[in-house]
Amino acid sequence: MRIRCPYCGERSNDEFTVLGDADALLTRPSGENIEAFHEYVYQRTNPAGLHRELWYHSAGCRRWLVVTRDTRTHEITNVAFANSRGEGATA
Amino acid sequence: MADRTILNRSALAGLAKPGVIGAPTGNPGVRIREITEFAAITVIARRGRAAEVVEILSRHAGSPVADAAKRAGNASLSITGTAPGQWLVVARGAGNELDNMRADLNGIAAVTDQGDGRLIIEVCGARARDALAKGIAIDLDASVFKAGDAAQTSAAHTGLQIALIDEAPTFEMISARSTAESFWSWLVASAAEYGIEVV
Repeated sequence: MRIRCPYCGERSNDEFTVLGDADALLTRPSGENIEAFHEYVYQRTNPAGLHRELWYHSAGCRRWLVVTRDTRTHEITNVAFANSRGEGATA
Repeated sequence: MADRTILNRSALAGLAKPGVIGAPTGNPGVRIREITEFAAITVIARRGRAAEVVEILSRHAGSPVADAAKRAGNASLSITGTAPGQWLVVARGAGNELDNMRADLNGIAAVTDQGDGRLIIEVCGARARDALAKGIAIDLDASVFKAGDAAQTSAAHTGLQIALIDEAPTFEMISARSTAESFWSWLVASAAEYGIEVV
């Protein structure tokens, strides 16, 4: 599988480290609601289809990316920086 | 306490000795040169200030610097994009011009001295691409990786910044000093069959 990093261009997936469900991880609840925090830490959906995931380009530009991948085919339909810091950069 | 002397040694001192290594082809396919005298800094633009940093870096380089994986500059000063809003600046020689650059970037970028923390080598020759392909996963073919292109990637599991200086081809390879010896082992093993000349 190859991932087209918005800065570095197309790279082998062994340059990256995967963290998992981007939407679950990027919406952190306050620690006061223990049920919500339990969901945030442990509960994940396991979709057969499009999935937004956090990938870290550890051997390249060291940016966190949100990769939209079809879990059935590994087809990647979108890659974007996880924060706004990288906006304006081109591959 | 025993007297100690701190030696100023390049990353491959004692390893990259001038001479021929590998196949005795009579016409070495790969030439390797270590850059031993240089100074280096990393430049990281503060949030929202990348355009101003690009302008200042371009002025110092004497040619346009991009916020992209590109290498700009001249024989004595090079500026290479390593990540969005980040660059590695290398001044060959004593590197006094970096002081002026640091002053100009004050307040809009974080500038960090890299001291002698890097290994810099130039690899050229007719078989350079064949040798590098053995450990570098990105496409270095002349039709894709052109002069001025740069990439942050890895070679044989070692972090590597690579750029094409000219179409000879001459590749500039920059890696961490701490793993310079294993990087050298990989490079020599990969290029040996083509004949290596260390200059």
